[in-house]
Amino acid sequence: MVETKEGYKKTLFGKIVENKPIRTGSKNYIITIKITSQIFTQPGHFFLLYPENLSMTKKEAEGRLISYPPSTLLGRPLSLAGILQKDKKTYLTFIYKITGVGTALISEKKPEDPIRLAGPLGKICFSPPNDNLKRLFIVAGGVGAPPLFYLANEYAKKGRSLEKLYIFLGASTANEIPIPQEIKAEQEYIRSLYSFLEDSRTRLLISTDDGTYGVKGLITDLFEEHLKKELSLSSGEDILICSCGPKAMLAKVVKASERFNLPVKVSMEERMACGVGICQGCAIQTSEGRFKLCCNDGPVFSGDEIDWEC
Amino acid sequence: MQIDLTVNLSGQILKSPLIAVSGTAGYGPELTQILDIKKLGAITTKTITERPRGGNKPPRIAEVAGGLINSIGLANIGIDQFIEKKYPLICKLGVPVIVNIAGESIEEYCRIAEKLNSLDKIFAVELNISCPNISSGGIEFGKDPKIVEDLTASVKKITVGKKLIVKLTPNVTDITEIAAAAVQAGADILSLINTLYGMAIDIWKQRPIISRGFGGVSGPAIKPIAIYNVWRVYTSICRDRRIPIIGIGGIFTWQDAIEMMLAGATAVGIGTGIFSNHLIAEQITEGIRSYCKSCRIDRISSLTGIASSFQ
Repeated sequence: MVETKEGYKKTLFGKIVENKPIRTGSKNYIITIKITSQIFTQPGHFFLLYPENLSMTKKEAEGRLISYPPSTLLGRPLSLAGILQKDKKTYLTFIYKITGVGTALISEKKPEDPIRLAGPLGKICFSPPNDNLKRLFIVAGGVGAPPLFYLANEYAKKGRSLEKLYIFLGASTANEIPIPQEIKAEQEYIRSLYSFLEDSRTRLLISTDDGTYGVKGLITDLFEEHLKKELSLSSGEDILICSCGPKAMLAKVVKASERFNLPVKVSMEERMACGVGICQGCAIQTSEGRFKLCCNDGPVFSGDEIDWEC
Repeated sequence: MQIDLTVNLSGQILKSPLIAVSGTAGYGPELTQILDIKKLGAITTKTITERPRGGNKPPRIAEVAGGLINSIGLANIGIDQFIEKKYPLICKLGVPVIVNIAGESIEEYCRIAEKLNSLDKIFAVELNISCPNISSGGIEFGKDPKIVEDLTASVKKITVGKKLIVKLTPNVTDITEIAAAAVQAGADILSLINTLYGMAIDIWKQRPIISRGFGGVSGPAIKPIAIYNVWRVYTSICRDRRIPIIGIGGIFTWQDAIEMMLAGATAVGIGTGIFSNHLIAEQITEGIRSYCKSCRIDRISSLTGIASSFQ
């Protein structure tokens, strides 16, 4: 765990470096936040980003300090997409979709604006590259992609035995694909997020619901099709499947993986208040009929731990 | 100027009026992950029941304008595991701890309270008779003055060497009736308010956001209601009988904490504010200090109830 402010382990104050739609006209945003401390993170770690307007907190009225509750109370949990440590500074990049008031407020923030965040949170992350693994299948739905981009980069960098890195990326329409139109034109902290795409072992397959980009249809169908092909080449002992996205998509990925007896790891999402296991708000039903907490028992789970029916 | 932040909670001296309230502090030790607990006067555990409870189906929480609706359903490990696994860690916290308990019958409350008697580091037992999120027990006890009196008296008889706190619900016609019943039966301290019933509907799915449909509302939205209830209970029951109140509901800033004390609270609970801002205890403490300086008040406890008689 990381000490960030004397006595406190989790609260960080950062500055927005960039915050913009990831593609022209997209509802998916990419935000990079600079913090002055060094932190250690893994793929799967998430942060709570607080939408409040921090620059207002020092205002005074008639010589008296004003303080008031924030307009939105809770931090928004976002999985880390990438981290770049440079010149004793840390650049944290997230990709998020505007889904409500909180994310809308975050999208209003401009470069140089201060932001409060808490993290890295989450106890169980994706495992670091392992030397027996030859084929990694990544299945991502929309803004479920960020922790998987982070994972893909780790494997591209450190997966010595890796032979094939499949990235299946599903989106509703071309605008919503969480990859910038021109990666080369981006700053280093964003470019580095996508360096796995330059790896010769990588194969990126995209599908959209409306066919405006890539294959028209469900990403899970594309995934199953290629998985079968790979399994016809050799048995699945060296395969791992990792996924993040809408629950219905995850359920299909897990079902397909189980059909072929392949290990599958999923990063889950649930409404959350504290992020550290105190509020018990982010419960997820397990296949054993119990509850686990997304924040503290995850967010990464084995596919068979989750009850996909409910 | 030295500011004395201590408050006297029925004989127990707390070094700060700030108390982490039940449900927002885990069993205690978890809170140290995010908050400097040395800034708190006391910590209240989540509700402990006789047997372990898994809690309600997710989704369990929904944020609304100015508030949070929760329906956790008293998820907890049960009193035996609490004593075995959590109590040893609680002993190392260095902050006074209150254990909040709930049962489905008076006997069950008593059995839990009896088990707490041997835990020296626990200074008070808080009766949760106000949880809106379970189908039997909880709030049903807190709505009927007769039951509140019986329950409080029964637990009081069994409890040895600990203060007895009764936590009241605002979801009643007249909170002073319930407060009077609890005090009459021997409550040493009252804490109020618990959450208010609330509901939020996802208009696109056309169903409630929370799986159980409704839950308890907390946060800044309920602060005026909390201030009002504390003021009422203070002026009609607690002031004359010298029963301290832990004022709870929507405390997010130091101004809120001061306001709560002026209404009649001896100590101030922080709950949802902890989730919103992990630096809340430190920021409120600093704010209280500078307020006292500018008002030339050297003891925070002298604020209690100042605004209660305004006519």
